[in-house]
Amino acid sequence: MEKTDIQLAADACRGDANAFGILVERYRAGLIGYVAGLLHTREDAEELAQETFLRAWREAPKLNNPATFGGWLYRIAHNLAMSHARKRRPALLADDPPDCVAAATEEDHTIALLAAVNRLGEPHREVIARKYFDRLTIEEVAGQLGIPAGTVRSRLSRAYSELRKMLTDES
Amino acid sequence: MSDEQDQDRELEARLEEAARWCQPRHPGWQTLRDRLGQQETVAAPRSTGREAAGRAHARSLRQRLLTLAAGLLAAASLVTVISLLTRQGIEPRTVAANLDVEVQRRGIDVTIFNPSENQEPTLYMPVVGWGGAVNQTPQSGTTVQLPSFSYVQVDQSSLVNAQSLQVDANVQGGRLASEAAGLGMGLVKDQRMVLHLKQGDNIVKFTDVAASIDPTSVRLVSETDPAGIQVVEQNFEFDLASADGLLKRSLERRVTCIGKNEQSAIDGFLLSYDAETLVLADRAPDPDPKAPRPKTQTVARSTLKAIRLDEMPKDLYTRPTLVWKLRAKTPGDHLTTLSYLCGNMAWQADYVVTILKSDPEAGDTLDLTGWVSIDNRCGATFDQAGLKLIAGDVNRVRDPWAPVPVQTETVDDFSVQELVVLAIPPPKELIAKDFFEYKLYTLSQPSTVKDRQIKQLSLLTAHNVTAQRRYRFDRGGSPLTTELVVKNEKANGLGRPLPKGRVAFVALDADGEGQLLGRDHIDHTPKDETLELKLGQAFDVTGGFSTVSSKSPHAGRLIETYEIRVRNHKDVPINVRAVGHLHGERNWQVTKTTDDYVKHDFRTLYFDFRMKANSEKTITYTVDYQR
Repeated sequence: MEKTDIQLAADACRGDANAFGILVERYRAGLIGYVAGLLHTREDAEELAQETFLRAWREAPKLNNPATFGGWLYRIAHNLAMSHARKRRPALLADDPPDCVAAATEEDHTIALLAAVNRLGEPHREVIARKYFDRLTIEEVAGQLGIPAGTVRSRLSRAYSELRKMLTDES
Repeated sequence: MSDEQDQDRELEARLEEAARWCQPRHPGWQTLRDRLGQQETVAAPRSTGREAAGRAHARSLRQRLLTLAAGLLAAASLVTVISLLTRQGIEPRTVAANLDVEVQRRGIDVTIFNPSENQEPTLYMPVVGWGGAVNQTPQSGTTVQLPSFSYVQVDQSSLVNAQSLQVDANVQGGRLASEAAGLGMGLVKDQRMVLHLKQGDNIVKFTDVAASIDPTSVRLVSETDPAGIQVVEQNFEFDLASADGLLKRSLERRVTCIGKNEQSAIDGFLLSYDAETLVLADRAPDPDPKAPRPKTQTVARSTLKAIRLDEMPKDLYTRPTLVWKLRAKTPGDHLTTLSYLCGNMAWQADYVVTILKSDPEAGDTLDLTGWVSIDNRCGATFDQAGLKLIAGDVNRVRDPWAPVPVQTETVDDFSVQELVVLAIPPPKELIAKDFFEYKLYTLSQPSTVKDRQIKQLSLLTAHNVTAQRRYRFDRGGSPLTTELVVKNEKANGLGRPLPKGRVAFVALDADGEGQLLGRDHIDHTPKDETLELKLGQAFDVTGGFSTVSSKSPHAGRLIETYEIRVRNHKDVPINVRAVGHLHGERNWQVTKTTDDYVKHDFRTLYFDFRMKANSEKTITYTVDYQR
């Protein structure tokens, strides 16, 4: 029986590197997407995701409630991404003259979608990340999150509806 | 409701695409586990609130003080040890110095270039041979035992065959094999963790590298500390412990030849050898001219079962090995990236066109499936490698010292050990992207490519593609060639770059079974271009060509009239292209013609027309040539 995220997070907080390794596998694609959505580029997203895990491992013993591991991890990623964006902003402004208008590429659309996923509420974003980024079935998502499969389905449905609305509003 | 479902489906597709885009690619993930291990973790506080924060702060303060005290103590000890060692004239050594250097593979990427038309074949290590790894280890049945034995016994049959191994490798294999042998090329990026490097010079060996490496392309960099590692020396060891290699190293050494009945044995010093004979002397050759001349004898190798060597020659490797002398400024573990080019790798596209609905008048309906076949004979297995395929004719230059490859197109036998067909379900798929002037196909998930294996991956599937059928008259006489003209457009279910490759045409007969209609070859075809696929000869459409008149009013001028006749015996109308060939080396002008034409090039005209069922058509045209 696969351990849930909460069980793994509890083990990781006690210093179990194997448990943390499984959490890395589970969360990294979603985290890369999250950071890419925040920075609006894939560049540096993977390195920041790695830095997030390194920091999380260092700070894991201080995590009081393992059930909040996901949100806490994303919070670390958020802070790192914001700090990174602040540092690189001047260079970006210098490189991109304002009159340079390029057609939206496929990558732009992907990033827009990732940014929209980032704006979902935590429960909805979590199921989207697990189903798509980690390529899990609904039952597997339910097993990992420790919730019923029906709940996963209803969260997905609500997530689709929110995403559709956000993307329509943007376009 | 249906709209919403459609939107959901579209959203799901986009999310899947986004998820593929987010899959980790950065090499740093390979080392994350190690980096976690290097981090200090603190004891777990389990209470909350201000009280806990206060306790944590106090504990943190205590820890800092303790760490400071421990640090001071350690520094003092270190200074003492160093001063003691220095006094004794010994260099300070790190802990890593006590451990052997260890190499662990962390990840590998392989980019394979398809055999190019504008290349001359580049051969890499001539010694290693065309067949890749064939002679890297003694042939099956050989009884070489390395390296702890006091003597080495080599099966005579492999010794006899050793000279011809390279040739055997060439004559085996089908078309792919011959293309792979020397024509294909791969770029390998191999990430390895080099552990326990000590400060100063280290000898580091990388095995499991391709046998057909181009040694001039080898590059090793440390990702951990690029400036901290210097490559002092690099060697590619390809003098493998083959039967030939062993005999070469045993010249002027004592060997024992064992007869086929295993009861007779001849002792002697090996003076020379070839595929058939050994020359032995009763004593070791002495350069002193006054020394008594040794008695020599020849031994036919066909009479021998085995040859025993008294000792194992040094510096022989069982596998191709890259050996470096690395100078490290800082001791410890380094993540390194090794990159090199190697030969004997190839890929090609194969397409199967299934004609679902045949209609010469309105057009045919087809299914098109594409496969990529990767042929690896480079001598190395790439385990869970990131795979990339480059489509396009990359220019290559032939190594003037490399032997000319032997082409063996007529042999059907494949010498590969296995053929793996991966009916890969998503998400393992080839994703096409532009790369410079070429197309780059990346497999979305890592895959293992074994040595001497042909691996097939799904490239594309297109349903209900429409094609116009056309009959082509081109010189000579009947019958006409049947062509399918397919627009590579999105509206036609395609609209994607198609790498060059073979096409097989299959049609379903009355029993619903697929029958082969013919084969053709397509070149690299960008999207929105037209594919012209030749199926074979038409049964019911024939034609002929004749020069009706030829006049030369004066020197340097020629007026000729030609006639093309096409007969359609089908019960349906057809489209025809008749090709007219002219003397292109002269200035010409079509002065009279019964039909419109298109000038294709300086000596070719195309007459495109439609014919009624069971009809005949004659085209007459007059051309005035002048010097």
